[in-house]
Amino acid sequence: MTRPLVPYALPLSVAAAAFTLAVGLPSTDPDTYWHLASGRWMVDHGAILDRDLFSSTAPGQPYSVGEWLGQVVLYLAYAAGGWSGLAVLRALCVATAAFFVARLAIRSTRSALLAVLLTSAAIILSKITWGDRPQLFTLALFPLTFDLLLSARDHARLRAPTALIALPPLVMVWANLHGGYALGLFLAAAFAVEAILTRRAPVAFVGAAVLALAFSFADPGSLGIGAAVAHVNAPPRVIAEETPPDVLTSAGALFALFAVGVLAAALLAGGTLLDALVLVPLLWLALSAQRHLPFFAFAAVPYLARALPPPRDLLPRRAPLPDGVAVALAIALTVGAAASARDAPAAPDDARYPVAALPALRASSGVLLNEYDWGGFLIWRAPGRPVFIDGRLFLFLPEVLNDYLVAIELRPRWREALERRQVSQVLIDPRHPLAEALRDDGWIVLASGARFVLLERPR
Amino acid sequence: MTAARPTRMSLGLPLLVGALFAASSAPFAAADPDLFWHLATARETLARGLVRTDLFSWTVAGSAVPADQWLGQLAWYGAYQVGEWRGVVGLRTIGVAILVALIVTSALLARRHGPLVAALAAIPAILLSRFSWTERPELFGTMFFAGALVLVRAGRSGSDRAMIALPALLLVWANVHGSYALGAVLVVVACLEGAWSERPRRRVYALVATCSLAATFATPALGASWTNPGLHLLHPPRDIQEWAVPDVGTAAGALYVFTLALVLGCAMLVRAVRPRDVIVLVPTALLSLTATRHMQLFAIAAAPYLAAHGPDALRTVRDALRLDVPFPRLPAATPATARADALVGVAAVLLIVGSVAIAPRAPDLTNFPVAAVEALPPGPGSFNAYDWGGFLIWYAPRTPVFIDGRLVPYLDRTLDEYKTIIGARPGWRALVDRLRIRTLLVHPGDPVAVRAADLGWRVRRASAGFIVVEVP
Repeated sequence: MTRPLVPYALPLSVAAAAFTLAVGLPSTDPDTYWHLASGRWMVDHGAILDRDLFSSTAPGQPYSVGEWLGQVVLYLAYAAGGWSGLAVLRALCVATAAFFVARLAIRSTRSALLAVLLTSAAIILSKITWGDRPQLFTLALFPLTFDLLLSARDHARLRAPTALIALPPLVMVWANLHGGYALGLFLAAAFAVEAILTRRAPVAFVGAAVLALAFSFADPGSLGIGAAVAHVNAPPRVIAEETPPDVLTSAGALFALFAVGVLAAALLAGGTLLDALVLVPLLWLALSAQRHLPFFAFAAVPYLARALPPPRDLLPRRAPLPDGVAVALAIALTVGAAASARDAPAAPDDARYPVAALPALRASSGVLLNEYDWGGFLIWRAPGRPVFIDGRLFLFLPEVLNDYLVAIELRPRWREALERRQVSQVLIDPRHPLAEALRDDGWIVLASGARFVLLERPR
Repeated sequence: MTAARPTRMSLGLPLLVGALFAASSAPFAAADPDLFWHLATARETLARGLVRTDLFSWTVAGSAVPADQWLGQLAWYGAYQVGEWRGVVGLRTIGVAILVALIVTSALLARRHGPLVAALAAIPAILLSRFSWTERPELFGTMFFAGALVLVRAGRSGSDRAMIALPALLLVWANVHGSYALGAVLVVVACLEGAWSERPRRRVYALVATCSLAATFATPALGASWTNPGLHLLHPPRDIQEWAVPDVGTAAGALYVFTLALVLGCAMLVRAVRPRDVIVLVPTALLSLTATRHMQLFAIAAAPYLAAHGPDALRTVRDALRLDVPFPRLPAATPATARADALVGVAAVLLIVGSVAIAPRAPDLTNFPVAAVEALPPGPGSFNAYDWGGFLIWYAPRTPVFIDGRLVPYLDRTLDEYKTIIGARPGWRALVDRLRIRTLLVHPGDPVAVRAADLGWRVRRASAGFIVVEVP
């Protein structure tokens, strides 16, 4: 009776463990707030938000981050279950990623231990992108798409790759959820090129890729494939997640292990054309900005699972887990994961935000210059005070961001930047040189804490 | 049937390519900000013996400083004594020639009969090695790394002479530049792999590994000689450009990632590489990911691999495409003769000598505050921008520096104080008072300069590139 479930036992077990791990984490991402505010506006108005409503520096300006559906889904999860609802949505995305990465692994190895080790490492590395933002959908959909394409490729040896039918609608939804859909198109293109070169169902793979590209345009608020690629080519380095990976951080070190592991495996065991077509560009992508690290690791999992010797060859032999036990374990872990959802945090972790400044902010008015990372928080928690800048970066390029940096870093003509924007209040980290300069200039401290200071221009 | 006699490898190509790139580097005047403190240290070494304590700053005066590059510093100072700034450029040109020649040799050893392929495979490494074509001991370190690769390859191919040369190389390297640690690891790993796969030569490998490791302790610092490389590897000062993480958005970063991708793609398409290649490429790849300055090391290590397997990868792609295109016939090496090599060698030497003869006679001080020197008061109390410390040590010896490129002695306290003041971070004015700083020599765009102007502090001298401010 359990036999049909056996192939799913391991991915389900890994997914359940990942869910349990992810659901217990409180929301911390500064961008979550403006995504929620955007989603709330769209749900309330039944329209797509395509103009700025939240800032004092670009009010009414048209913009798109190409994630309207992702924002709506995030807000609906919040509306349904508050911050716990968001935690559950996040955990579902992480679990989906874990499920499909594990499936990718067991496609390539019969060693459950190796599959679990590689999947766990990749999922742990992906933790750097577990913020409650639409990129969670890319985290889930990338391995799903990879698995779908591999299934189609395997089937193409025997019969028509019917699984490819799912690709265009999948990309269409993905394009509306998050700009990372370009990764789906990249995978489709890599498989299409391989299909052409190997003459294995080229029409089906090329057709699916072309249709997927066409379907990706069915997005009313799309970032556009050109903009998505341009963003990858010229990542804004002022944002931490857009900086190149540092292998001396924990996530960077894990990535480095994947990178040199793939290199060592390739040198010793070689690979296929598809391995090269997928892994080489993803390595370049990962080295371009740390937010892309997980995708290289996800794609490396099936390759490493195939290339590495199974640990059972290195360890004393043991009898494999009986099918019934494996299925029972998967069911138990899934039930446990479902139960863990009850412990999802009911509030975000706002220790890094200027919570204590909110009363003073709400009681005052004027143009506010705020810390970049606090913009989203202020949009959500102090909606009456338009922000100077927030995580919607594109909207603020280049003038507003430049003025912000000139002021905050006390570059020449910083006073002119404040005057030009008619800034009357400043809410920043007290460690910035601007904080001390304004104090010296007689600005009044309205509120302060260890991590923030709210200053007001003297009247 | 008689076995083909192995042909002697031609040295003509390495010499020619080395000389060409060296000649192309010669017109650039000496400009490295660290050159000056290296020269000053060497001058003191010759005058008073090995410099073990700080002589140039007022912030860490008398504190211990590493003496791990003393031999490299003496080499640069010797060149300066011989030919002043042109002598320095001359030594750099010779260093570049040797480095490039070694890179090409290493590629050529992997493909003896394909000089064009070897030269093409060496190009990424040569271009990335441009990073170390500076007037610092680092140039020698990179040169020794390329030399070690050649010796390891030759040694693993059966040359005992090459193996024996490795400990000698490390003995010199350990006294020239901290990158010797990579060489020592490379030699030990290569010896372990050799001992594992080539049992009859086990003793040779054991002896070479032991002697190489021992050689790294034959330095003035003895056992502490490994401290600096370890410190820099595990705690790289990311604020300094060359210690930042590799960035694909820069030209050098893009070339590095291109090389990494080339090797990975090549490895995917070509199987059956010998473990001896893996043990060189994989650790070097890991190291290259840690900091911008290490990117070149991977490219240098990859040159022979690309020379050996690049064409096979291209054939695999052609076969996958099922193209009926014959693989281009690349010119094969003509049998090398000693006379031909000698002729090319003479031409290379003439090219290098000629290019050095017309090299700049003075350093390029465009990026240094030359006109500020007279405005600086003698004695302690001057605060200077980091990159100008070495310049001041050489050109304004009466004014000890706040900080300079020696970095290590400043790590405990001074570097943090420097960051606070230069960035006008909270508490900077109290720090200026506490340290009794009398003068600021900084860039006009530095926050402290902006703030000093706001506060109305008197400007002693200023230009587009610097400002000297008097602290009231």
